[in-house]
Amino acid sequence: MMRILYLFNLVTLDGFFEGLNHDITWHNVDDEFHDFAVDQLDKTDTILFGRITYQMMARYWPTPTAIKNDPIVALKMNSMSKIVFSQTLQKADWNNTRLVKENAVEEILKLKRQPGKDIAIFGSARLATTFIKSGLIDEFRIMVNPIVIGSGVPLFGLIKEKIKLKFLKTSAFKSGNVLLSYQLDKIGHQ
Amino acid sequence: MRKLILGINISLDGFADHTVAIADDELHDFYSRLLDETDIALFGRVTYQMMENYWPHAHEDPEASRSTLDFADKFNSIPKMVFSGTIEKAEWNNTTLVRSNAMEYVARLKETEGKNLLIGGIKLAGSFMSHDLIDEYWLLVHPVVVGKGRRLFENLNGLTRLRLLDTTTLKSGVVVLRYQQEKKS
Repeated sequence: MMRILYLFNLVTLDGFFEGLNHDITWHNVDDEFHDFAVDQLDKTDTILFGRITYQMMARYWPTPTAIKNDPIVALKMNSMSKIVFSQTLQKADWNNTRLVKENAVEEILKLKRQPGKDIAIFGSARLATTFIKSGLIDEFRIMVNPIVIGSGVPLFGLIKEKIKLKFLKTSAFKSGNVLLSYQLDKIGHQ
Repeated sequence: MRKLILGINISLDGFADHTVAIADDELHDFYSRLLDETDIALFGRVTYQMMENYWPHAHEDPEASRSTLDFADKFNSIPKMVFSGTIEKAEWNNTTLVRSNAMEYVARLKETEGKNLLIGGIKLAGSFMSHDLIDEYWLLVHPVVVGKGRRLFENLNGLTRLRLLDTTTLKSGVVVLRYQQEKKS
């Protein structure tokens, strides 16, 4: 079986994946979320990023604070193979990160044909939009937090067409988060 | 004390657009069961007029399914209230037109004994939300991202936390998320 590319995002009940100014302080995380995240990373061997999400993550995970607060996830995030897609970045200094400047779609097709564990994309709204429209995302994992924030950046807001999904499964967490998994059905109004 | 329940179809990105709905038998049956737990359905003018135009005549619709008609029968017979200062009269069966302030009226209604109160229209629901009158949210999340329309929670300012009660999945891929309003401390 070919490995899959999955997209994972936390989203508020009102449909935002970030508040204003990239605010993610509303993320509703606890030990159970942590176990879920570790398990998900264990099944993943490559993470894809757009520039902005990459820079946020690269600023956080290598720091002593991250390693102290979240040693297991920090170790995984820092050692995992990563690709950042950007035409403006000069270099990518975060450990085990490759900078790809063009042909993102071909890069992913090539990557998917190679053997390995799953490939993840977190955040990275613009890059995710490209991949969604190219039909490259095999699984959408949307974790709905039981929180309303009122304003922010909408989930998949860069796609102007209607996106129809096919439901795969759901799981509820004690924190009140609900993980909804889907496949892409079609984009557009037909 | 009665509970005020908001029951509504939404998209995965939080829009309450009724055209997102996969209106199959299971969805109608779900709403029929919700009506079984309800003794008064509440409406603002816009939703009321939309409903009044269809449900009393559902039996004339050649495309209406068995589950649609079961739902129609329940919806037509259940007590209803419409809050409006502008409409002249409410002709849908068993409907009371209420001209006084909806927030105060419903706050008092909640203090009385009985089954649940149900709200489904987005505008009036938004006012109830901002007055902390909604006790439970029954959100039927359809497997679609629409990117535009009226946001369900657009009236809430600042961060609001809800408590997840349970989830149910329908065959169509609709996931029903039920939440309770956290008590304000």
